[in-house]
Amino acid sequence: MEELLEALKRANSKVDWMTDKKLYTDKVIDSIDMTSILAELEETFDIEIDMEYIIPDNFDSVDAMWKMVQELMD
Amino acid sequence: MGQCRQTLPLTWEIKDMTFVELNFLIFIAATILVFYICPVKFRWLVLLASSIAFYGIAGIKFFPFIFVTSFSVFLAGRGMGHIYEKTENTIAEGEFDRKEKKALKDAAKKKCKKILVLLLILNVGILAVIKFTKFAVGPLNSIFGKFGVETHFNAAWIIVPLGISYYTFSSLSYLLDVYWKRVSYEKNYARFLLYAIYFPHILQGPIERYGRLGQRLKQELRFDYDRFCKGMQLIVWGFFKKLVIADRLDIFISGVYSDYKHASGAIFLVAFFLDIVYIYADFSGCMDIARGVSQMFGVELDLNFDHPFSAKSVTEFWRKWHMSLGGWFKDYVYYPISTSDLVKNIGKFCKKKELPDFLARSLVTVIPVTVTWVLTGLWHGTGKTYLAWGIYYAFMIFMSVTFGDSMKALGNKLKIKTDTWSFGVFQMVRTTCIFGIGRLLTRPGELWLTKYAVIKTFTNFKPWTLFDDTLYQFGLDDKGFRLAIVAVLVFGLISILQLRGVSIRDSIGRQNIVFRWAFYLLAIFAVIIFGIYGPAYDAASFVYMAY
Amino acid sequence: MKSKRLFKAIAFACVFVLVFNVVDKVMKAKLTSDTSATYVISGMYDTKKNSIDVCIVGTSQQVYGLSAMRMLDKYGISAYSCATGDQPVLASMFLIKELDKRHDIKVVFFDPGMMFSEIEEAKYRTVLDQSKLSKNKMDAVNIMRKYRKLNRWTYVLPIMKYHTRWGDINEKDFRYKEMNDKVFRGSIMHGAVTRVHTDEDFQIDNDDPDEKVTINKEALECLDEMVRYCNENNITLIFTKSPKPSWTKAMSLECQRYAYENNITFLDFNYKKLYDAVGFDAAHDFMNADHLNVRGCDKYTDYISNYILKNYDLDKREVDDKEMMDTYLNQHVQKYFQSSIDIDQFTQMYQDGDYEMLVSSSGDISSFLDENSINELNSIGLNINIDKLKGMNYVAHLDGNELVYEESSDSAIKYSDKLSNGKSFTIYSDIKEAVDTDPAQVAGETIKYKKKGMNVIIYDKQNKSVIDYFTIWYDSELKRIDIYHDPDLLSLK
Repeated sequence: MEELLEALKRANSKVDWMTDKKLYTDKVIDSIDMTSILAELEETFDIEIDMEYIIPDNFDSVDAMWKMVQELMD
Repeated sequence: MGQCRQTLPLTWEIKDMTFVELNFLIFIAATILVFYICPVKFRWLVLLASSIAFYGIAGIKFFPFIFVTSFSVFLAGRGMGHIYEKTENTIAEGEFDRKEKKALKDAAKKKCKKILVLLLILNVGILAVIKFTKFAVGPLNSIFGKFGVETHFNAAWIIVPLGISYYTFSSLSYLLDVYWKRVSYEKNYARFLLYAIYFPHILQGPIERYGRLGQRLKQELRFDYDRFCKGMQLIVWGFFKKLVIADRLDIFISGVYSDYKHASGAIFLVAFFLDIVYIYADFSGCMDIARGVSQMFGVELDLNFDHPFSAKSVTEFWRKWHMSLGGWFKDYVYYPISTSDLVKNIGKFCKKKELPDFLARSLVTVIPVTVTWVLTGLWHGTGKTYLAWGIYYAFMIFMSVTFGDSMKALGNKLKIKTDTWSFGVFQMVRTTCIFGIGRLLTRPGELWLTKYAVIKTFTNFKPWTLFDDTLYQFGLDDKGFRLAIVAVLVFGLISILQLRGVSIRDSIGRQNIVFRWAFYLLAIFAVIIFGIYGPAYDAASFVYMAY
Repeated sequence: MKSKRLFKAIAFACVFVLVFNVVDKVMKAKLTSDTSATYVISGMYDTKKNSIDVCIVGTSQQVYGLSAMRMLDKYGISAYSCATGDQPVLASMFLIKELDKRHDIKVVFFDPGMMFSEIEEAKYRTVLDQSKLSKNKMDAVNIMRKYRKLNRWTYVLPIMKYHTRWGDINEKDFRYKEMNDKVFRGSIMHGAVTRVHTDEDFQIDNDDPDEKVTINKEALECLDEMVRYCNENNITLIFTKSPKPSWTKAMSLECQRYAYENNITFLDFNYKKLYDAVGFDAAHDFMNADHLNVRGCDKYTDYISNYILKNYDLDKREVDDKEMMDTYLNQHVQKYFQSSIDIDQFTQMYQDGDYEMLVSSSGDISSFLDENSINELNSIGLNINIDKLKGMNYVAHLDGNELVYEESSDSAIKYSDKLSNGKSFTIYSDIKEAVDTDPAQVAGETIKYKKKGMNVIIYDKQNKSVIDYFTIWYDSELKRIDIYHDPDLLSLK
């Protein structure tokens, strides 16, 4: 989890990752942010995030992202 | 006359079934009647039948196209669905480790990819051929001419099926959603066809996803009095925007660009701003009519506009304007390209070379942004103007991505407060102007005319032409022009109220019956009296010559 | 709950229809001149059922030429005129049917003037748009569609066309319910007199039928339908053509042919025999080149009415709308005054009623008044001595035949006094002034003169208003002593 947060901060240091808002649905992060986030996550966790995983459910909170990362690591 | 203009190059073929013909209103009334008489279970069939009828009235010759697209996509979806199902079953029944599971899944995906690619080529191909051959007719004629062969290719020969951009994109979104396992495949072709051909949204969108509209069409469609009335109100509001505001402004703006020699810079500036209002009123008006009609059936359509001119940046703007298109390109073009190997490699390269943040961001986004926006431009229309439009927006967004942070930092250094309302207004005006400039590329119809207008605005401004009668020389007389401005102000007022959270329909709904009815009647008659429709009354031929 | 909502919905729909009707009526074009077909057509729907026996239909010749009110007043014949300007044959056919729906029409007088022409859509609309939606209307529209491109919906919902008038709506449009008080059962009287033609100009007896005329296709279809309908419904159809210079021999012969083939009586008053039988007088009876004025109209109406009485057995009808008849009769007198061009015409009118007269000169009246004129004027009570008036200003006040006041002087005269009912007046006479002397003031009205001569104001004691004013002068173009009426007074407002 810590690793994830650090990766996210590397991708974009200005976003408040722990906010109550939905990150993806409420557009806290936009499509351009997503590009760097995806790159960072793939790099950090050695996973491949395919299109099927790029859905709001997976990116609306840090917890959701963590769940997805874990699933992909299996 | 009453055409919803947004994708003009592909909708000009429609003759009899545009929104604003009386025929359309009668068609709606008849369909609603049959719909609610029918038992709930079969109401979706009424929608299907009426959508087919609607499409048939628009042009029987269009049917093959929509059947080919919808049926091919349906079959492909079923095919892919079966492959995935089989793989899931195999995995569930057997004992496999992670690697083997992945291998099975990859194999399934590879099979599906073949189907996907085939279908994409077929349907995008049809769309591209139709769009581009229409565009190529002129140049083809001249090329043949150079070889001494006289050809008379006529653009009108090329059949442009009703709503081809919309139903193609809707169908493709379904196809990709099945491929990416975001939606389960549809087993019933009739259901799928209804989704593709559903008449309220086939003319102008919004481009709906199968997971949303498809599911809504499957629900029980029961009569709800409030929703039904709200739908009617939305239709009236849509007609107001379309007939009273948009079509009236269009007369003026078209007049300015066709009589450009007599337009001063100030007049061009007025046309510049009114054009922004025009396209918004026209497009959102048509959207409201579509949504209102659909609401009367109990089927919600997605919003396509969310007060776009309150956006503070270009990227935010495109999340509020023509939302379904932006969303489609984001989900089906931008992200796939962003997650492609090429772009990922660029990202890795930047990391390796430890390039500064802003440079890395810009290099990584340049390809997806450019491709997305050029395609968006071409979706709107073929021709140099639309290509220029696409490139313009790609550039603006690219600039914003690359230099956005630096601008913020600069602002901080200069102690510019960014959270004040005045700065907010500045941002909105700036965004609106950027959008307006984009419109300036496509509205005049030719790039040289755009250039002419821009140059004249700066060299030949003549502000006094705004105060004499020059404004009334471009097709709208003084009464018509003033009416347009009043209507625009009404529109603006209502938009501002909505931004502040006021729902006009609810608010009026809470008032007393006399006020409510007076308001509704006023709105309806404003459309009937002030709308631009029907043959014009010609005063000259009515002067009675007694002697 | 459910029924309450249903009730509300229906109630709203009813309110909507009501408001729509009002908006529809306001938006429809009211024709800019006063011979508003609006009132003619909508008045048709206001008539009491089964009260009309005769239908007058066709072009504006009928509007001014046949007086339905006179027919009722003098002959007890109940007629209604649905004629309008340049009325297409299709519209005439439609109107006959519409009128017959409401009444049991026995005789139709139709002016076939438009049967050879192609007519613009606006002339159809003046009739159709003011008419109620009915099968007859849609049948008519369907015939129209055979011959031209048109949008059917704009005939079902005229508001589709007229809503663009929103910028031109004025007070008149909101008063659409008020019957134009110059339209009487569809007929209109006019007081102007024109003298552009001679009797011979109208008569076609000796003309060459040199041109080829064919009946317009649509007109022919509608004529046939008109004939069929009249035959089936026991209506006698009669073609009548009042004197019109542009009605040629060729047209008359072609029309005669059609009438003969279809057993229709055709009375063509462009032939000497019928022209003289009516007693038309080109110098007195026409308000312009094509249309009869009130005097010509009365003659024509008398002829047609006698024709009806001789040939048809219609019920004698009573006056149903006394107010309208009184208004008509008053206006009739006024129009007769206005259409007087000879001094004896005017003096006869003066003697027939209860009037006061104010006279003032603006110019030397001794220079043109001849013995006959002076005798005429003195016969109603004036006391003009031509020798004594050379170069003098002159005013006079007559109450009936009693000379209340008379003055002649070589200096300008300003004469202020009261009429017999106490209302004050002031008149001026100044021989040296330009065309107009100071405007006269009578019972609150201001009257400006436009010619030099003997200015006369006639005050109607019964109706307590100025009924007419004019100038007796010498018209150098016509080379005669003439009565000049201000054209503004003559145009219907």
